[in-house]
Amino acid sequence: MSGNEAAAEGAMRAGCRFYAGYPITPQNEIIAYMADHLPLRGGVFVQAESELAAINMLYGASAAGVRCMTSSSSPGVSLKQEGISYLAGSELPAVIVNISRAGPGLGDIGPSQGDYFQTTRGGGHGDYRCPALAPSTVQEMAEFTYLAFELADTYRNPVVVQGDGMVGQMMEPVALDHLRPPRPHQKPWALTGAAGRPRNIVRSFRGVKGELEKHNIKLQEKYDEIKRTEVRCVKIACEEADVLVVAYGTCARIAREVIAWPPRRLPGRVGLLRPVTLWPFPCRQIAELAERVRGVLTVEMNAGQMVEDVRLAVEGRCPVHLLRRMGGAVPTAREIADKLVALFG
Amino acid sequence: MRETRTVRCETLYARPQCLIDVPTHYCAGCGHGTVHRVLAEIIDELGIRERTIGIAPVGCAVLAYDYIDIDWSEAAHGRPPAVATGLKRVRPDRIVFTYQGDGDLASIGMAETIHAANRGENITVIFINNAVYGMTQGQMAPTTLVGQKTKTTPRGRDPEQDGYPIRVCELLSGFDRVRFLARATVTSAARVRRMKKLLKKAFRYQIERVGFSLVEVLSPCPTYWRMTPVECCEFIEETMVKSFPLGVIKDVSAGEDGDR
Amino acid sequence: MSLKDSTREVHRIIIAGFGGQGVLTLGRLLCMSAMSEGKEVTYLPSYGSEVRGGTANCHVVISPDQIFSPFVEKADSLIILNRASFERFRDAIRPGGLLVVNTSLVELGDYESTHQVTVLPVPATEQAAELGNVLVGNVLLLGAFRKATGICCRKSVEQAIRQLLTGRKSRDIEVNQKALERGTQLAAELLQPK
Repeated sequence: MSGNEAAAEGAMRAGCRFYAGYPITPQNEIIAYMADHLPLRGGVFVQAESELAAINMLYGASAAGVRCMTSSSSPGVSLKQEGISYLAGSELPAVIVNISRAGPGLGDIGPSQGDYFQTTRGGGHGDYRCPALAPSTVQEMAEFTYLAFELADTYRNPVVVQGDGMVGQMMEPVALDHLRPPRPHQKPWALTGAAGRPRNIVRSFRGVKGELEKHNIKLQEKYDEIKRTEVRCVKIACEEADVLVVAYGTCARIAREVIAWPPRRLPGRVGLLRPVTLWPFPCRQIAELAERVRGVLTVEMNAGQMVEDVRLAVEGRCPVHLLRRMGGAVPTAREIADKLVALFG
Repeated sequence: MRETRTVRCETLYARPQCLIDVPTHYCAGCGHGTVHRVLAEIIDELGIRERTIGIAPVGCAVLAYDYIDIDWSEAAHGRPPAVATGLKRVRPDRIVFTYQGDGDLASIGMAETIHAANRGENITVIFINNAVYGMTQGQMAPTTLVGQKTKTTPRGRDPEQDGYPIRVCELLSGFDRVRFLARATVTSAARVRRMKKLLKKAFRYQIERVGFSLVEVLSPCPTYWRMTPVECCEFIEETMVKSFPLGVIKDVSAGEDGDR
Repeated sequence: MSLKDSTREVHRIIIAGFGGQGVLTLGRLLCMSAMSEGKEVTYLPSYGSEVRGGTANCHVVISPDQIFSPFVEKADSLIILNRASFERFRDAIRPGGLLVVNTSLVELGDYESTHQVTVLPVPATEQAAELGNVLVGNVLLLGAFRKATGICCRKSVEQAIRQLLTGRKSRDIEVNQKALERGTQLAAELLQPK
């Protein structure tokens, strides 16, 4: 099963009942899988006229209280930002899968992590954040998409599954049986018609003076709670490490390869910290390790975006370096090893 | 013993039940208030208040949800037909309408309008055409008349530069899955009664699952037309209807394939 | 030169040819076969602009243990279906590796004298044409590769073919099984000590 198909399957197992999307490479397997399977499993599939329309269809479906998802790749996700901001402002749950590709502009369809800033900073206008999960295997494409629906409903907030072309296109064996139908969340706020209850209004607009600030404070309190409770990361060989590599998604897989190499080819013991949630970012975990390693190497398929968060977490405790590839290029295990030797050898 | 006589009183005119008793934020002479009232009457008369969901636009009617006592959703500028699509598809037994102005529906949201219409979404679109952007203080709309002066057409709309006003009903009439298109106005009691009849039919079509319906209402904007309310009504009757003729543009009930 | 013991170690493979030769199908069949035997597999297809340029390739990793990087920098085995792919990947192989090559479309030149690699020259396109379907050259090469490496059982490949070819494609099962058989035979002959 491909990563893209796994994401779609994970979504349906999480109870996704509405999908709207617009084709763009390299995520077309998601829209095809949804078109094929969702209507047979009691859901609604719509091929939207644009990414803009798709995300706003989600706004409607989510307002009606239904679990819903869209997927796209970088240029398409840029178009969705308007809707994501509205979803966040109106506190509507939704899942957005971004199988990102290289930019800027049309760029090309090769794998990239160039959307890190957009994903972790909110992306659209206004003060908001979306939890972002970064899968690095096909198995995680299914599991994280499933998890994204739970987080979205728990916090009434859009959640991003931040993949890339590599993890979307590749195939691996996947185990799905443990992704059981979840317990439905109560949604007393949903628009179902005002029968036997006061009417509901779903909106982000706060026109009365002072109300918008109150609304923003409430949102920020929610984001603080997410930061306290939802940070996820994976640590490999970090306890004894002299040097720390920080990488996520595809880069983490390649870095993991290096960690397994014989120590004689590396400058001492190398540990890997892989952020699973890009937001909230594992700041505390990185800061703790920064106290006792010689330095940190961040590996990214962009010009150096996550490295800024790593530096904020490290706060000068040790040097932070960057190995980057851009434009659809993927760093090789050898490159990572060579860089480690050059920096710390 | 004194004789008592019973006098029977009949309510001939009252506030519709689902019209909330608050002053609106609309300018004096604006058409929105009239359309809101008519919409509330229709919801009451059809008995659909508890299963109707409205989509409010961005524009002067952004606060429409403050005036009609039903479930409402906001939508980003131009996106009500997409939001309505998502809502209606997952709740096909609810009555879903959008309430949109000319900028929302025919400019920034034209793609959403056309595609929702072409898909034949079983929703009702209420389209308020006042030929100007009210909320942003009077710029050109896609429906601004040729020669009409606005903040962004200070010398009048010039077709060489800005094209001609877009006739939405006529544009959508070619789509096979569009079932009902009509244009009305609010310039007199008779016109309002006619508008109500058309809009009610549009809602009835949705209830009967006939398909996509849209009613366009030519609506006065005294503030940005820089006219009195009475002059506005005269302007609609004498000038605006020449560009936007009133009447039923398309009416195809379920199973029929010709105009009625 | 001894080949890697494919049953106990990680095996990294690059498969390349032009679009329509069944490069990606070859990779998927290989993965499905190994997977059915309980091995870990990753399959990474090229999906970039090079697909439109006419060449297609995929990276396949088969391992008894968890696989980290699905990218193949230096392959243990190359399966090459056309000339352009041969030029592109001829050096992407480790010393002592295995090259299974479609000699119907590729001229090896002095490759064998300049590379410390076991070469299995299979005239796959011609042989497939003899079987009546030029499109089964991919499975013929898979048969030869499987025989040479013992990476999985023949039964597993036969089963994978039946699994992948469903619906209208099921009529091609027989010719594909024949191609698998022919590839196996050719490899057996070529690998016999001279």
